[in-house]
Order: sequence, then C-alpha cells, then structure tokens
Amino acid sequence: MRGAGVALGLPLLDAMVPAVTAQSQTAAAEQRLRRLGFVYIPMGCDHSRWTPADQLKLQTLPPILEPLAPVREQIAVLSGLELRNAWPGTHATSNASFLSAARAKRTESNDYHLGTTVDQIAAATLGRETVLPSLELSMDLIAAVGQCDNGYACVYQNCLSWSSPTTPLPSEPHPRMVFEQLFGEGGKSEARRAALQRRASLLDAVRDEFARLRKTLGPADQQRVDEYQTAVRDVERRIQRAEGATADNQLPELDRPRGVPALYSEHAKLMFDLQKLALQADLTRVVTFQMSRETSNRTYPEIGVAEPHHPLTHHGNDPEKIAKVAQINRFHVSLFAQFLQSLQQTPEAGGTLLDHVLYLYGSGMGNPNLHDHLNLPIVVAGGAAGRMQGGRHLQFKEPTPLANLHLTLLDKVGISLDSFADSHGKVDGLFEPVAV
Amino acid sequence: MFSRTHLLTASLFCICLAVRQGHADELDGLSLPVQTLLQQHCIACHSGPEPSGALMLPEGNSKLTDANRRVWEKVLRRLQNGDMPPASQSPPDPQLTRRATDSLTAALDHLAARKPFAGRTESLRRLTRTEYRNAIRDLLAIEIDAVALLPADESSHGFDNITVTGLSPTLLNRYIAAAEKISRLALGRPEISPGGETFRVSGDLTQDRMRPEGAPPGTRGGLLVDWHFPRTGTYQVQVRLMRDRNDEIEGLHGRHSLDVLLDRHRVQRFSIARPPAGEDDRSVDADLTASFHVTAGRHQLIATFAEQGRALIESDRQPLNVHFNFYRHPRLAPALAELVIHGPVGESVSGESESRRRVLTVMPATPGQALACAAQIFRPLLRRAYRRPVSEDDLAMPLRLFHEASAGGQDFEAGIERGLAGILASPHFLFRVEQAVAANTVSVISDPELASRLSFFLWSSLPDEELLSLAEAGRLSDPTELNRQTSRMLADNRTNSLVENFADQWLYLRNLQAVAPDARLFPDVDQNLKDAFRRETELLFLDMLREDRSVLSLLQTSTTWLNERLARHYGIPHVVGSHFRRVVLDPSWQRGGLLRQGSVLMATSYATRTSPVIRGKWVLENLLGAPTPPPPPGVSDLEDNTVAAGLSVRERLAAHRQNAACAICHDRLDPVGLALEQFDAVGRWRDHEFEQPVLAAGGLAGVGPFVGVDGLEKAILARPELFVRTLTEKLLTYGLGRGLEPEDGAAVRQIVRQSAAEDYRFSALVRAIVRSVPFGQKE
Repeated sequence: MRGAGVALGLPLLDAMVPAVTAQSQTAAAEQRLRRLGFVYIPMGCDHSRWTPADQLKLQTLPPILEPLAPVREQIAVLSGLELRNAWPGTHATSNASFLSAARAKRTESNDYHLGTTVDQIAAATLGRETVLPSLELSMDLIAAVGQCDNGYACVYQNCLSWSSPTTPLPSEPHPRMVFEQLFGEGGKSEARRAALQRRASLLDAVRDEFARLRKTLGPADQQRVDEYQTAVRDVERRIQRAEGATADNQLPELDRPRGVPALYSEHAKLMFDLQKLALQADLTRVVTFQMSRETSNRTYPEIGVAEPHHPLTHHGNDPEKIAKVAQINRFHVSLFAQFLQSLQQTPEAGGTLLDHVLYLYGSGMGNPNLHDHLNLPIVVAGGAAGRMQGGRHLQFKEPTPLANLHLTLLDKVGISLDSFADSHGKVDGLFEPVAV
Repeated sequence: MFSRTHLLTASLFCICLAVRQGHADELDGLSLPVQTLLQQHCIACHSGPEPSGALMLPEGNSKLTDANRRVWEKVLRRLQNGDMPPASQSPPDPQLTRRATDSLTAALDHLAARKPFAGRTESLRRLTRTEYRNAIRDLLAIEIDAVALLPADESSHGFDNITVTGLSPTLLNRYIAAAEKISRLALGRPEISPGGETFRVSGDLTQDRMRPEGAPPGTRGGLLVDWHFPRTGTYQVQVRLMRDRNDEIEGLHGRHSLDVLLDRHRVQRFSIARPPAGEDDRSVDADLTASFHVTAGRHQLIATFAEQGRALIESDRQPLNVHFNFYRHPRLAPALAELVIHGPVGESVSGESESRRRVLTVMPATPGQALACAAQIFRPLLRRAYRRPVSEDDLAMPLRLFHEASAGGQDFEAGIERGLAGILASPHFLFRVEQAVAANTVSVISDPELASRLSFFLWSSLPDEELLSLAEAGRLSDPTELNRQTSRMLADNRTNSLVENFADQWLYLRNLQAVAPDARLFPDVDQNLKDAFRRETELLFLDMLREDRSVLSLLQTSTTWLNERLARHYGIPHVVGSHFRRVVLDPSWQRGGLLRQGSVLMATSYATRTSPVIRGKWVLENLLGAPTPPPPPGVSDLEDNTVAAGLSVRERLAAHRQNAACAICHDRLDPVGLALEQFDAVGRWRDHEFEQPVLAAGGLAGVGPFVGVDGLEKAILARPELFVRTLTEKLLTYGLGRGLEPEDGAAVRQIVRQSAAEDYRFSALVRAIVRSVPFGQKE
C-alpha cells in the first residue's frame, strides 16, 4: 500500500453511492453544519505540554499542540472539562464514557449497559440520508472478549460508539474492509462507469423478467410483483445517481488497500484519508475514530519512543517518562493536524471541507498517572460554516461536564436536546463572537 | 416402551377405522363422551358473556362442521396435551378423556378425509440465504460466503424460510451484486481485478489445545477456509496474530512455527518469536505474507501452528480448559487472529476450474457459431436454475445479454458471464414460483413444483437432474417413484441441510453463539465449548438421519459424540483430541439425549444461573407442542426482582407461583424445567447449589410428578406420539414454508400414525410427510 500522498480515486462502483454533485443541497450547504467527527486518544496527556498559556486568544501553541499551527484559526482548545460518570478511574470507563458521558454498569458478562453515545444520537438524524448512518473506525485489530479492566467487560474498552445502552458498535481497523464498505470493489473511473452501465443493463433484464413472470400469475401475486418493480426502479435511480457522480466527480484516486500498513503513521493516515473520502462523497456524516486503545502497549519507534505507551503513562512524575508521553501525545496530534490541513485544502460550497465538518478530538482520561477524569485534553476543530470561533483557548474555572460540549455540538448540527447525560448547559464562547 | 407405543397407536387406528365404517350422519354430531366431558369439565368456564380464553364451547348436542373444525382441533390438542382443564380444577376421569379424545380424533379425521385441508403456501417465495448458497454450490460448484453477500432472513414460526415474500431495494441490489460477483468467479476471465477476502477468528477461541476440524495432525489452533480461487496464478495470504487488551501478541513465549497450508501441503512456514528490545509486537506480524501459485477453483487453505507438545499446567486448582483472557486465563501460545487472501497478483490464466467445466460445455469454432453455442450452454443452466422445463422465452434474456457483452460473439466468455449473471439475477431463479389455484379449491401440485418442494425440504437446494427428468416425464408424483426418490434423497449428503438448517433452528442451536455465561461464575466457557456443544447435538441428529433410527433416539440414546474439550467439560475420562468420536455412555455420567446435552441446557439458561422457566418453555414448545402464551402485560418480570436473591431458583419460583396470574402458566412450565435443575447454566452436572443438595422434583401435565432428567425423559416417552407430533409439525412447517393451522391436525396425525407403524424411523416420518395432503396439494 502506498503512503498517505497516494493518488486517491473515488471508486463509485457500488450502486449504493448517492449523488455527490448536488452537494449544495446536502451536507455542505452554505452556513450549515451537518457533519460530526470524533477522534479518541487513550490515556490522557502531559498537561504541562498540552495546556496553552494564553487565555482565550490562542497565540503560541504549547509543544504538543504545535503541529496544529497551520489550522490554528480553525481550532479551539478546551480546558477544565470532566467526566464524572467515568469514575472510579479506569481505562474501560475512560473510553466508554467519552462519547456517552454515562456510567458503565460494572460487569464482565454480556449484560453490559452504558448509554447511547453522542455520535449515534447524531447519526439517528444525520444518517437518514446517507449510505452509512455512521462510520466506526479504529486502529487495533482487537478481538478481546470477556474481562478487560477491573471487572469491566471488554466492550467498554473496545467500543466508542453505542447505538443504545446495550448495543456497542464494533469498529473496523482494516483499511480494506472500510474501503469496501464505502466503495465496493473500487477501480479506475473508466472501469467504474462501464461497471455501472453493465449493472444498469442487468437491471433492465430483471425488470423485463419480472414483467414476463407477472403475466403467468394470479391477481394477488401480480400485485406483489408490482411492489418488486418499485424496488427495481429504486435501484435504477441509485445507479443513475452513481453514474452521474462518476462523470462529474473530481475526487482523487485511491486503489483498494490490500493489507494493513506496517507503519502506524501510514495506517493512521490511510484511516484519515478514508474519513475524508467518506465525508467528501457524502457517504456518511458521522465518524468516530479510535486512534489507539486504552491500555495500549504500542511503541512508537517512528518517533524514537521504544517504551510501550501504557506503562509510560504511569510515569510516577519521572520527567523522562513524562517527556516521552508528551512525544506520543504530540505524534497523535500531528496526524490529526495533517488530516485537518487536508480538509482545509479541499474546497467545498464556497469554503473548505474543514468549514463544513465539526471534529472533537480528545481523551476520556485527564492525568493518566492518577487515572483521573478531570481536565480532559479536548480540541474542537472546523465548524466555521456554523460560526465556530477558532483560535481560542476556553478555560473553565469550575470542572464542567464534557456532556455540555456534546450538547453544544449536537445543537450545532441541528439536533436540539434539553440535556445530554450529566450536562447542565451548553458551552459558552465556542460559537459566539466574543470580544477579545 | 416401544411395544406400548405400538399398542396405543394400533388401538387409535382401530377406533378410527371402526368409526369410518359407521354412518356419516352420526359422525357430524359430537359423541356422548365428548359431550359429557365438555359438560362436566369445560362449559363452566368456556361459556357466558366472557368465556375463558375467548373460547365459547357449545352446550348439548352440537355438530362438527368444516367451519368449526378449527375450534375442535384446538380442543383436542389441549385435551391430549393434558393442560386443560387446568391443574387447579379437578381432573377428569382418564377413561372419559381417552374416550372423548378418541372419538373426537375419529370425527375430525373423517371430516378431513371428506374435505382435505391443504393450507395456503405463498406462491411466490424468495430463496433464503442458505438455499441461495446451496443452489450456487449445486449449480456452479462455487462455495460462496452467503453471510457476506446477502442479509439475514427474518425468522417466524421458528424458521427463516417462512417470511420470504418481500424484496427490498437493498436486497435486490445485493442480489444483483452477488450475481455479478458469482458469474465473474465462475468464468475467471482476465478482466478480474485482484480481490480477496478477510477471515477472522473469534476472540474467545482457545487455540492452545485444539485443531480446527479438517486440519492435519501435528497442528494447533488457527483457521481453515475453503475458498474459490477465480484464476490460476499467484495469490498472497497475510496472517495476523491475536492480541490482548494491551495490543500485545498473546502467548508469545519461545519460538513458534506458523504454517500456511494449501490443500494440506505446506506452502510457507513463518518463525514467530518475541521482538528485539526497543520494538513493539507490531513488528512480529507486520509482514507475515505468503505468496504461492494456485490453480483456479476451490481449495482449502489452513493457517495453523506446529504443535510443540504440552507441558502440564501447574496450578493449585483444577486448570481451566480456556485460554484467551489476559487476566484470568491467558493464552499459553500465540494464536491466529486474521487471514487475508489477495490475488491473483501478476500474470494469471483462467485455468480449468470445475465451474468453468460445468458452464463452458461447448466453445464456438468460429464467431458465427457463438450464438448457437451460447444457447446450448444456457439451456441446461436455465433448466437447473429455474427448476423446470425452459422455453424459448426463458432463453431470450441471457442470449440478449450475451449478445450485448460479447460484441456480437467476438468475446465469447464475456458474453457467457453476462448471460449467467442475468440468470442468477432473474426472479425465476431467485423466487420459487408455484401456480396459484382458484379460491376455495384444493388441487395437486405439478410435478416440477413437487420436485422443488422435495429438494428444498430435504436438501435446502435445487432439484438434481434425476428429479427434474422424472418431473418432466410426469412420473415423480407416482407414489412408488415418490417413495423411491425420497429414500434416494435421504441417502444423499445434501441432507446435511436437515441438520444445519432444520435441526439448528428447531433446537435453538443457532442461539448458542449469542449466549455469554457470566465470566466470573463460569470462567470455563469459550468458543470451543460452544462449537462442541453444537456439534454434539448435530451429530446426534445426523446419526439418527444416516442410520435411520427412531426419532425417539433423540431423547434416549446410549451413545453420544464427544471430543476432548466436551468430555472434560462433562467430566468423562479418556477422550483425547479435537475430533469427535462416538462414545458409549456410562449411566453415571448422566449424558445422552437432547435433554442432557450442553447445547440445549446452556441455550435455555441465563448468564448467571439456570432458568427452569425457559427450559420448561423450551421442552413444552419444541418437544411436546404445548406452548404457553407470553406473560400478560403488567406482570412483573421475574423472581430476581420480587424475591430475595439468596434463595435457590426453586424457592424463588415457588414464591412466584403464589401469584394466581402467574400460576396459570408457571404451574405447567416450572415443574418441567425444575426436573433439569441438576444441570447448571453451562450444562454441567451438579449435586449441590448454595451448599444445599439440588432438588430435581418435577412434573408434567397429563403425566404427574417425577424426579430429575430420567423422570422427564420417561414422562415424554410415555406418550411418544406427542413428541413425534411436535417433530412432525416442525418438519412440516419447515418443509412447507408456512406456519401450520389447527386444520392441519388431521394430516399431522396421519403422518404420526404411519410412522408409528415403522417404529418412528426418521425416514418413515419424512416419507409420510412427503405423501401427505399439505405437502402434495395446495389451495
């Protein structure tokens, strides 16, 4: 598999792909935000290198956040958010409550119970018009089952997204599976067009066969065949839309990925590329991405960290270990920053793709050495089309529920709830112009 | 027991004959015993302005008519089951009940003889996912992963082939995509782009002491897949290893050999060991890719480890059988997580796969012959796929697609591929079509329709050449021929579908995958155990089918099938190795029939404890045909909420039954399930619970009290016709693809009677079903 700079090609072979041309009426309509993304990083951060010194207006970015400099005006850093329902401080609950803000029922069996996550609440509305209501991605091929952390079932640690309190959604780490989910088998645009035409002619044949069958049937069955013909017409419309899309679309080319890239950064970039394609082609409007799992013992030789991540975060205030944690934090941020930049470089609806998405990046743990859920590292990016005010550092004096932010994000994409989990209001200052 | 059965059914049969010889007029009236029974035991509740269960029974002399036979069939069933009158009322004299049910049976059967009931099976029915997979296998010699290609079918009346009349756009889209994909695989033309498939291993599969079924000796763990390689060429297989919650490769102690085998020959050996200091585990399996040459067609691919011998596990306690959980019972050696096939890469040729041989029966010498050759190829394919004689009209569509895609015959194979895709996407293939008959008439189905009913019932697939030829010659419905064909079909391996499709659904084996016993209370459960549970029950059913045993042997048998994993779970010694073998049982092991098998016992338990209610319900519904209604609305859920948790389940249920509203059903349900209390929630035998001896006193309506699984088995076998009736109903539901109606009762009774004459052998049951009115007729 080629790296991130790959020639990308929107392979629209699958007839499920809807029109991308009419974006002005869909996800990217001007001054409308209809897309949400969530990126999870495990095991908190080194606050000393994360928290900006600036109040309100972001000027100098601290070391971990430095890679975000090119998109500084499109991001807001939020300090002082907490997850009360994640206590008693565990890895499993950090992951589980990040998007649910709910308390996980402590069990190792399949009677687990959490809460519907913010992305799934969004997907229930935003996902009605897209091929995939939501896309769940991760980096680790984990099949861990049973007990994972202090008496919590592994689903809490594995699954970020829950479509109901008892339905954790699996995530997909394999780029090829994601690709096929989105685009079918892929191929170059010429081949795609030919394939769509072949499929259309096959569908003609099916319609004729149904008509031929109908003549031999009694009235009740004839009526049933008429219903089947409605399905035929529906599929026909989808193929036509997809044909139109292949003709007009200027998306870059991407070959179907084969395996999982050996380098972490290449794998992560590929997963970000797939998110971008899915959003750009309006195949989905809700994405979650677990960049690494809680308790991960991954090492990062690419940036010279040979020690596994999890033990490092139990640093016992050893400055050397803390520095390495910060290195890993910065590395994750840098991959996210590259993704934001590429969204920013993609024009859409009179602005950029970044303007029309709203991404939340962060962890459900604050200080990993303490296993706490206070002062979570949180960045919100994009959202200019919804008047998101970037270049900000919002610092809450009192610990404030992360759910307040979830409620605010939902509101911005047109889903207005009175409350979400333990929220007690919305986050002020994120979307309103404030005199600086 | 068997002789008793004989007497009973024989006497039933005699009464039936005697009544038939009487005068027709007398039969329409209900006999004196029926009237007496109704008067003394039923009318009090089933009359007045608000009759119980909304069932109003007639007082005095009343007539049995075509219009009310539905009601009388229901009455008969309740009387036979012994669940009416309810236990709270004084029971009727058994002699009276017997005389009443006998005469009611006779009268209903007589009415059915005069006015047969064939029932309405939908005339347009889509193939189920399983049927589709088997049809592709039999038509084109391609094993497809139907689960990946098509959505699951909805289940109703206990089976997934009942609700099959709908066609959503999504499903149609997937049918079309599947048709394109399968025709491409079948022909393996050069245009095929490198593709592949990803196979994953369940996370709770212990790979330390097991060999996948079919893998050679000396191997351990891993995965076995059968895959259709579309072309002859080079393919790549990438494998990845199982990781724990910390992203570390599990069980990575020492050095291990990981082999990739193609058709049981090793094509690659990888050496696996801990990474050097400073590297994480990612480097261990970042590039475990084997490249090798494969000929087009179906091959078996295995990724597995070389067995390294076993060390005794040192432990203060009895060591667990499961090794997959980082904290509690970590893996002892590395395990396979994923296998990805990719290819063909580089140069490749079509090769000579079985699929190509079957499809490309002729090749044109000149482009001028192309169309004629295509027609010659499509005709037999259409006949098999559409399961009937083909007309020129049928041929027009694939030929048109052929013409389009072959550029007028220039690219012959491209044209055949398109035509084949057309056939696979055609409603004549995707739907089973039976000609509808005029309202309120009963007529015999056509011979081709009969061929399909037979093959989908017994094989879950298309009729074969012999069935089609006989059907076309109009000879299949001849009773002797039908009997001969049924026997031939039963002897064919395709009847495996009766195990994997029928028995799996009937006995809830499909639910096993979703059962997750509490990991703290039952740490010794993993995927291997679930697989073994399912396999034991499947083999019991398969053995009955292949050896043509009595269907009662499902309940009572002196042998069973075990592998080492299952034997250890049951506490049975001297069974070593992953393969299943027949084991003659010692009675003290308490194993044998369905009611003693872990599959059934676990599928009917909660995560933390047994559920006599679910077990009782399962027995009543699936073995005795006496289902209970769901709890009325507003009734509190279960004993966990209402009664203190320290009590045994038996005590909690007793408290539950204090509530009269609950007692109506639970008086019937609980005693049945309580008889199985000596099996815990994961099917192990136990003598104690909460340091108290387990009591297994139980009972069954119509039989009386008994103790334990022995007692329950005896109680069921005391009235074998109820069990056989239930199995008949399940088979008939599955075979017809419709829920049964009370009016089907006469046909079911006839099937039971006919099979009784042959000791309830499975083949006798099937043959009786095949010649029954509902199977051979429609209305």
